[in-house]
Amino acid sequence: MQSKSRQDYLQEIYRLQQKDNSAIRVSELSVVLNISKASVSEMVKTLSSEGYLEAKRYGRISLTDKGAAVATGLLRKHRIIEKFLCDIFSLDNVHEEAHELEHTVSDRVIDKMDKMLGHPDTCPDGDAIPPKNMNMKPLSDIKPGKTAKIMLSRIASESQSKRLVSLGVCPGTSVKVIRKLAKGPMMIQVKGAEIAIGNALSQNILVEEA
Amino acid sequence: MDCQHKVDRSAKCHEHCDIALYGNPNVGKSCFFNKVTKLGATVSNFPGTTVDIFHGDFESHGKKLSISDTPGIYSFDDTSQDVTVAKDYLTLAKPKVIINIVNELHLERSLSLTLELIKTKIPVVLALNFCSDAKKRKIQIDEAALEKALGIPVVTIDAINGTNVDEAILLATKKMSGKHGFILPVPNKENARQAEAIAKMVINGDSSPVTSISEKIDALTTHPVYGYAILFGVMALLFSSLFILGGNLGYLTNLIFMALIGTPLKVFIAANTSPFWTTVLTYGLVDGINAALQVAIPYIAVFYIMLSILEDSGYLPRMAYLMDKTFKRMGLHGKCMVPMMLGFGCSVPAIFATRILPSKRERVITAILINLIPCSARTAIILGAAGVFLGWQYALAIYALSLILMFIVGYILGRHLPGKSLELVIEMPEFRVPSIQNVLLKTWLRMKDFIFMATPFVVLGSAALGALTSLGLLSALAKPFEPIVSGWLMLPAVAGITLIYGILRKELALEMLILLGGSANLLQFMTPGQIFVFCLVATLYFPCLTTFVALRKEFGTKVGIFIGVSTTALAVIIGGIAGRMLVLLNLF
Repeated sequence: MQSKSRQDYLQEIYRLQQKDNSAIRVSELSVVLNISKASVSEMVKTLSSEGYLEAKRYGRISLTDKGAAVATGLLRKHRIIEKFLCDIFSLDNVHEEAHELEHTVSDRVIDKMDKMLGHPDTCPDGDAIPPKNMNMKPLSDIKPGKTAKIMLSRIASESQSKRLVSLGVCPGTSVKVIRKLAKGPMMIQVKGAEIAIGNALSQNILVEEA
Repeated sequence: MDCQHKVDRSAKCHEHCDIALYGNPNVGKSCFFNKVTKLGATVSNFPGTTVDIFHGDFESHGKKLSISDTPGIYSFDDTSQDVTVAKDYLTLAKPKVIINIVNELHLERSLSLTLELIKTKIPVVLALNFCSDAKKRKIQIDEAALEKALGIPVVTIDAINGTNVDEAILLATKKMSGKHGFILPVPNKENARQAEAIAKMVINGDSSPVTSISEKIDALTTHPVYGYAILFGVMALLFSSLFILGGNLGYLTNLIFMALIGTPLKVFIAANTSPFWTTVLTYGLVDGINAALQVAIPYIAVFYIMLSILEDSGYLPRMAYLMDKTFKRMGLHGKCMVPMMLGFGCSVPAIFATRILPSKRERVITAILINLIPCSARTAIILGAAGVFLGWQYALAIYALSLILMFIVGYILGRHLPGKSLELVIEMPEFRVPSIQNVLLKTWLRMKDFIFMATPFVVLGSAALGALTSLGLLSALAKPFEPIVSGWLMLPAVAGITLIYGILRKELALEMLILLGGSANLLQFMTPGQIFVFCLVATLYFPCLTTFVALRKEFGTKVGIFIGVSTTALAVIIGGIAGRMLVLLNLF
């Protein structure tokens, strides 16, 4: 997993999944990357065989835990570089430069930059900077009584992911697990309200435990 | 469906609408609507009670106004049926003003919808509801700051006891100009962020629930062990009270009716009319009404009182949570439990309630299964015949059989119907003590339908039966069905006629049977085995006509006919097999 374009794929998929709060279509990815659908499909196949992506229902794809870890690592670099270029060098429109640099700057340089910036939470565009050594796991693995922050959704159904967004279950929100039934639904508290969600949904919402 | 006086439920009626109520599910829109119009929209403590547009007229300060209640939605960006209904109404009716009712406790989430509504350019008034609950949790909302942030009037109300409801209407009428543009609501990711920022600004105090009694009941009723024990207890209580209360109530109404009206009327008719008309009128007016009073109404009344209590307490969504795993086996999820519970009352509102389900696939499966749930009319037959003459064990056996069949059919459909099943997403309302007033009002609204729609059927049907009997045409009519009814099902030939009546209304089957047998004691002309088979067949075969119409309306003629034909075939097959098994066991 070293090739730059593969990393770009994973990062772009991560962004799209965060935006849609669901697994994504290959066609969507091809539009965003401005690459033909055939080549995108080819790359998706490769990444799937390497365990970074998984196929979902309705012809949608999603990052695996492994794929999401690579993507967030890269996104962290990208956003810290953006922040650095903006704050320290007072530059505008830093996305392209950050995009180039994220593949070359080493981890220890990034850590130093992060420290120098005072461990910021968000990049200049207001998007969250993923924390270091993020340990994402499915919401279904969180024990009752614990709180977790939603990072990524792998839900394939568009209508269900929309319903969840309108209930406040989307990346960036914190949820508290109240109780759950073994291999069954779980009750979560989000934005002051209590919601029950099915097992297959909670398995497909990646969170970071607080 | 609950037939409501002066309430127009058709979404097509959109010529004139002054005020439209919009808001998240279960925030009290229907409660507000009822307070204003003094009409009865169904109010419950679970999300998704209103699945259609309710329309009502009222007067405020000498002005005639119309108001509409819409299904609760979280956002217009959703594809489920109830959201489509709410969205279409906004587009077609273009209300002059919207009152957006929000739950103070869930202000942040509600504001996303408020922002969507404001962007339609229709004037909006924000009504903060449930202030008493918020005070308990020590939340304070800075109304002035909220007004400023949103740019619309804000008023705190309590829809349950009516505080400030007039105030909200007054504010709305002031904003009502009728001259505003309209833009279809577009989903916007920014709304959520903006809502969060506004909420942060105006809310003082912690909105997360504190440990209250409601919390403790919540924990107990959804416990992996006690939860199921409670669920079992609740269901047992529901059906035993149906059996005991319904049965005794039926006995009592029968006694009173016959003593006060029935017997004197019978004597009067016999003295004043020719023998032919005596039979017709006695069948229609005396026996018909008596049958409705004794068989149908008591069971239906008791069931709806119990169901209303369950709904208003907030227990139904907990049932959905507990039953989720079971329903998954049928390709469904826990939320399908809600329409199915309604199905124990009447299939028609249950079929309309499937609109709360997000996908067509689960709506169809649920609607098919609803036809196998013993509705209160079927319960009247099961308890009134098998329960009374054979014992409660037999009634229970028929119940169990139809539920097992439902599960098997669901399992097959879940595996073989194309498409994938969706997952449970349901909000848990807080537990509330049901108000007796609301429970009785709701029961009455649901009963009214049965009383005013069913009784004429029963009276006319009974009279027609009387005419056929005195003309000696009954046996001729029964002839074509004899091979199936007498041959395969081993029932008396006249039972076939009563089953035809049952298509009009299920409970008519038993009522006509009592008339034709000439005795309220079925054992005088039927064996126990025959009573059992009759109840089983009457429960399973063709859903009543009203249900068929509802199915056609919601899912099309094909689905309607498919359900009609397949349930009838199922009833005949199962009925015959059950009869033969009873013969083998020497129980026939």
